[in-house]
Amino acid sequence: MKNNENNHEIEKMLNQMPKIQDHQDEEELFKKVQQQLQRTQNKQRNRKVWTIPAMTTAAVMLIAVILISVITNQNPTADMAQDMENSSEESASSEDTGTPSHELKMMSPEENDASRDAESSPLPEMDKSAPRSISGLQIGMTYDEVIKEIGSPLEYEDTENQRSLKYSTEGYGIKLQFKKNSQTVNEFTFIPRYLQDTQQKLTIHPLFLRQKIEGIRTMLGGPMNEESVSCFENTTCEEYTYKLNSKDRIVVRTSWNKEDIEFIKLLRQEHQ
Amino acid sequence: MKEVFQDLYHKYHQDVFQFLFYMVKDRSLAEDLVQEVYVKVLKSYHNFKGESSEKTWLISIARHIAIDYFRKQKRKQKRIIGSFTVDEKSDWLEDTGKIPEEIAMENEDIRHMYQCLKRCNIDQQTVIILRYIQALSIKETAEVLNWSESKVKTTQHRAIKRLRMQMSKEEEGKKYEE
Repeated sequence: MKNNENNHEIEKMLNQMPKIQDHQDEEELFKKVQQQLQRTQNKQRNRKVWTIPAMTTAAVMLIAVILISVITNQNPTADMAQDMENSSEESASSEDTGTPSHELKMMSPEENDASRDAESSPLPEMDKSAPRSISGLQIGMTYDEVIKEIGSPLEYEDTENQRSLKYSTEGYGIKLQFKKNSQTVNEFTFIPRYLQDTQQKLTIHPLFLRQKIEGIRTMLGGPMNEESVSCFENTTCEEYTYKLNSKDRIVVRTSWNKEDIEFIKLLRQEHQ
Repeated sequence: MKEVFQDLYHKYHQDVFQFLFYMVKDRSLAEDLVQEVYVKVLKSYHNFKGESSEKTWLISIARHIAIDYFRKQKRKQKRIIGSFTVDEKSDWLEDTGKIPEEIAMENEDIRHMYQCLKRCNIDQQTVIILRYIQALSIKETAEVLNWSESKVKTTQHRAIKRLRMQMSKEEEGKKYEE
């Protein structure tokens, strides 16, 4: 009851709060309002004026990008016939193991269609840092040829179809996978962290010594197609595929932190 | 455009100005903000659908402008204070401490009430201003705030309660001082 009385009192007092009048001149106020309105309208107009050149620039750049891609795509068709002659083993099969690969340097990402990929791919003009065969290493070499090229290891270990070479005491830094029933290597695996302090003379392309993905990026260039693959313990790693030539690929796998390099593979994309 | 301005000015100018004055508690600031109200109103007058009365529409715009101003102030304050923690949720505004001339001329009870009003949060203050100083109905207040009428009622109730508490608290404080 007392509360209500008090409330009523307060309400009464509130009603007594002084009335406040504005003493600004009406005309003057209108002028100020008008000026402010014009200012905001000018701002809007300015914004509109900007959009036209901006859009023109964007359009020009888009056309340029299209032109470049058309020009670079002309090479593949020109080389197609030659490429087909060269590669007898490239059957016209349609399906493929198909890791979406990415050509080295300037080339555009390939389509998944593997046969088209194999045939229409340009004989790439490899950039200086990634010659067509890296430090003379080639798929199809024998073990002796490889050793002649890179230098002999501290020791090696054989498992089925695979020989692991140790150049540093840290671990086996290079693994050679042999083609079944053959003495030729069909896959090189480099583990950069075991290739750092080599006691043994080792001559391989510096690309395979890179421990961070940034290093690969700077050598092989810009935006790569990446694929997330599952790694150990429910993590995902990134796998980047570069196209070395029409058949050979460089596959870079990062560790779970997506920075350190787990391994770099040099392999041939076989058609099944 | 000028006709629209004149029409609105004659009908509602003093209402809008008084509302802004009590919201921001400063005459010259209210003068600036009332300008902004007209700018906004004239820009969007063609959007006015007549769903609410012109008066509540105008005051709701004024309220938004005042709240925008408070936000800007708070940001500035934060930038100045920097590493000190400013309670983001706090509805309290810095108290300039100045009492506007118009209030200073009033009797002690009114001055006291004016000071205690500042201790209410913004929503509570707004409802008190709209209901008692602007003398809007519950329905009109609900329109201005875009609230339900029951929310207006409860907020009003709490605001009065809080105001009463603040006033008695300070009164007691004064007694002790004496």
